Amino acid sequence: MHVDGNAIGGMLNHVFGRDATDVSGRCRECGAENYVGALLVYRAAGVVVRCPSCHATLMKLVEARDEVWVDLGGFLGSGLEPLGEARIHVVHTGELVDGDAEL
Amino acid sequence: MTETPSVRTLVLNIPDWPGHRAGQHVDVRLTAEDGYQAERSYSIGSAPGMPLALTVELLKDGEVSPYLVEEVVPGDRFELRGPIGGYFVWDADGSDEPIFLVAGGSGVVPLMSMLRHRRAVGSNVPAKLLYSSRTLADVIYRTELDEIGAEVIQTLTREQPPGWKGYGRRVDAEMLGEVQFPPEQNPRVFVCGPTRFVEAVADALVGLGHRPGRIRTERFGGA
Repeated sequence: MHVDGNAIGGMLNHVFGRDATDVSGRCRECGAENYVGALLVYRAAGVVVRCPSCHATLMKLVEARDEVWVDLGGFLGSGLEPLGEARIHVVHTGELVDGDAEL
Repeated sequence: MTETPSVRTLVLNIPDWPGHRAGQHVDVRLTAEDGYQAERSYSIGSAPGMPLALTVELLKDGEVSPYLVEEVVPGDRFELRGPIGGYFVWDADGSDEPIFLVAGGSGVVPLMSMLRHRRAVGSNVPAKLLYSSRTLADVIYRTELDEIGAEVIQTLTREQPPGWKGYGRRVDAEMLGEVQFPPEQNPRVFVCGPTRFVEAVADALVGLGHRPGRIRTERFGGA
């Protein structure tokens, strides 16, 4: 079952060094303009990102250890640029506290 | 805090947490002793400015949720990345556009963050939540929904208790038409839930005249 671009927001933060879900671009095949958060995401050994209008492949990403190979060739005009060098992303450590806090 | 028999809210203390926006999520990463890692996304249920609270639904053959729902105890620590996402978010930014929130199951979690945010800042933006659950026992945040300060319309798809006043079927175009803010009011619409639910709701909303660009969706896959 596919999900959407929100689901790979963490991976995309790692690749681009910024939030990408709220960035829009254009499908190379049909020209449909969509935010990354609205694109369809299919996960297998890697991640395939498809156009919600025509299902063309917009991006391909493969994550191995802490590196991500990325092909953005089908998604035009987004201005998204993968970071050129390895980047240590911030990993937080959460500690469970009293679960009955007022929210 | 136990929300339902299979859903638990975890409140976390994170010393270097940068804060979050309503609707964002985090990726929780667990590492086994042999180095195997599993990572899953969980929505933040708490309002911005409040301690980070994740509401997690137990998936029986899941790799991460059984630990978070059944095993973790106060004092335990685990890794997370985030906050993540700038697309499926609502900020109380002074706009007076109504917000129409549509949730299927645990899709209510990021929408609850938006409603808690709205309440916390005293926003008077009109807000409605249409929330679909299987049974009354599956309703997350059940008591708080009564005092969230928004109009909450519920549907129970599998079983309704005696005297139930809400809907008793899956969300459909007719139901959406009855409870929505009409397109002329230019509402912002947020839909979150299982993929099939989200796509059926979004299609029906477009059929009712809402512009696709006004509908923001977040799909979480199976079931």
